[in-house]
Amino acid sequence: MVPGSQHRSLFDQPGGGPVDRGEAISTGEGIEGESGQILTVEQLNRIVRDLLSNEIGTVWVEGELSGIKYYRSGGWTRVYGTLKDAGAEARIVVWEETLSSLPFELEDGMNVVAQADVTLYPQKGQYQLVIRQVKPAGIGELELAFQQLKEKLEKEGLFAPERKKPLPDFPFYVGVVTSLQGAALQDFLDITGRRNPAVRILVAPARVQGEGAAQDITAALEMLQKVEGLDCVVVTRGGGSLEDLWPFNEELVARAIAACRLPVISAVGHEVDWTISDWVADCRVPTPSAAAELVAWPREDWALRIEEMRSRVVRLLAVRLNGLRERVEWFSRAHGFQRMRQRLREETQRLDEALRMLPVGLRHRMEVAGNHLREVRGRLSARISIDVERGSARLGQLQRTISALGPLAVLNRGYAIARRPDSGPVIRDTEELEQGDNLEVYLRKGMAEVRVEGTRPGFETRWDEDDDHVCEEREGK
Amino acid sequence: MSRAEDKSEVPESFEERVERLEEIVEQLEEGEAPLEQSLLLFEEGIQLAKMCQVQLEEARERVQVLLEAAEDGTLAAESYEGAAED
Repeated sequence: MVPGSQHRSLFDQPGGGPVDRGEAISTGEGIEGESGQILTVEQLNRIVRDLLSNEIGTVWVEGELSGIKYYRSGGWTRVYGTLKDAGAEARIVVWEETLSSLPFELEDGMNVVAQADVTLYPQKGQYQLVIRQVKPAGIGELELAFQQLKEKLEKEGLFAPERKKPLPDFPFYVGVVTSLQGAALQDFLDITGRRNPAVRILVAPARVQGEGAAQDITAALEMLQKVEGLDCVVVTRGGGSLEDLWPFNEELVARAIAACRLPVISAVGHEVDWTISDWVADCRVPTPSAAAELVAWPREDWALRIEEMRSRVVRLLAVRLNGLRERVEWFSRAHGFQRMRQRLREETQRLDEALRMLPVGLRHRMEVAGNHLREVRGRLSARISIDVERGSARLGQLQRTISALGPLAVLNRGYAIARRPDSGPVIRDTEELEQGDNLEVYLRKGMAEVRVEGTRPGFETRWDEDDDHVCEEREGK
Repeated sequence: MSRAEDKSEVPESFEERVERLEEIVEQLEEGEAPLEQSLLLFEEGIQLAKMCQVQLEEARERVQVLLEAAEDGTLAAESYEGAAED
């Protein structure tokens, strides 16, 4: 019931001013009648004011706001304006204590139901309503406040897509602002733990409904921003009434989210609930569980993918090395190298042919390959699969083949190779030589330039098979 | 060779490591790099995969609660014991 409505009869009477005045005089009979004195305007206005206050007092009145002006000078806020309907209007004033309790702002064109003290502004002799309470007519006040704040922040550009920070693809450390007692946190932890236990969670506790919740949420956000290494922040709570979710519609929280240096995910209430936090956050998801699924990227999928890439790296190298080995083997077969345990002379001769046939640099690369292999194998952990071992075994084979084929094996044992200068043909028979010929003699280390002083033909070099360690190794494979 | 040297610093984030690993697989697949470089790529790839696998291991203290010490405003974290049973 609207208090003060019984006084409405005063204004319902037809005839307007003069009748009101007559009524007033009749009720104020004692004041004027007794003394018959002439009043000052100020005195009269005071009388009228007291009359209005005493006789009408507090009323509930409905109308449309217009000419609303906020004054903020002097460190306090007040509003002046008019309340009107189709045929009449009244001056209104709203003091700070009323304004501070309003979740929304007064605006022109707004339909309201107001509780007001009817009084007089003596300096102007004008009657006015001092508003005590205001409620939006036809719409909930929280709903109105929501719309107002949303409009305001939108105008400021706080919801603009270009303001949104991208979420990390692989967060490893996630901050969560929520209540420690809430079901939201339980859901969130269950799902993140199941999907990706590699993601660390840091909970910044905050009340998420009722008095002080907005301040808690804001403080928690600020604390999380001081933590090193966080990838993003989730602000969340479970479903509830509009009043329960209200902190997430408060300007304080909205601005804290907007100012957060980390990407913020807002997950408030159920699917149907949209809060200001949702609009201002970098990303909105409908529920705490959805937030968990968003931040807990699927670890197993990535573990598989990395394992796959790792084994591909190994396989690709093995294929590459295998290709090289086949080239060497093809070369060996093509030139009749099947029987390796042969005499030194034969081997030397064929090795020299091999030397000439090998593309420049290949032999060196094979040696390098062997060295790398030893290093790499040394570093590979036991976890590395059989693929590597297989690849390594191939490399090892290759390396042995190379050393068996290569002149190093021969030179290492103290033999030398003589050839014509400038990579000319290798000398195998003194019959090829004449006195004074210049030759290059290759030793294990370095090369000597020599001149033939004389020759002794007919001497055959002998080869001791048991000494051929390298060849034996190859045979044993 | 110069390309391999450019990339010699190990990428820090999981994302960068995965990207570099993908690059290495691609380069090895093309098979155009000289053998020495292929071996370097191989070695780098194995290392990156290993680092990623370590990153994917379960976090030791997965859930913590952030606390603010009242006097000086410094932050501390304690392990999360689960929700209160009431």
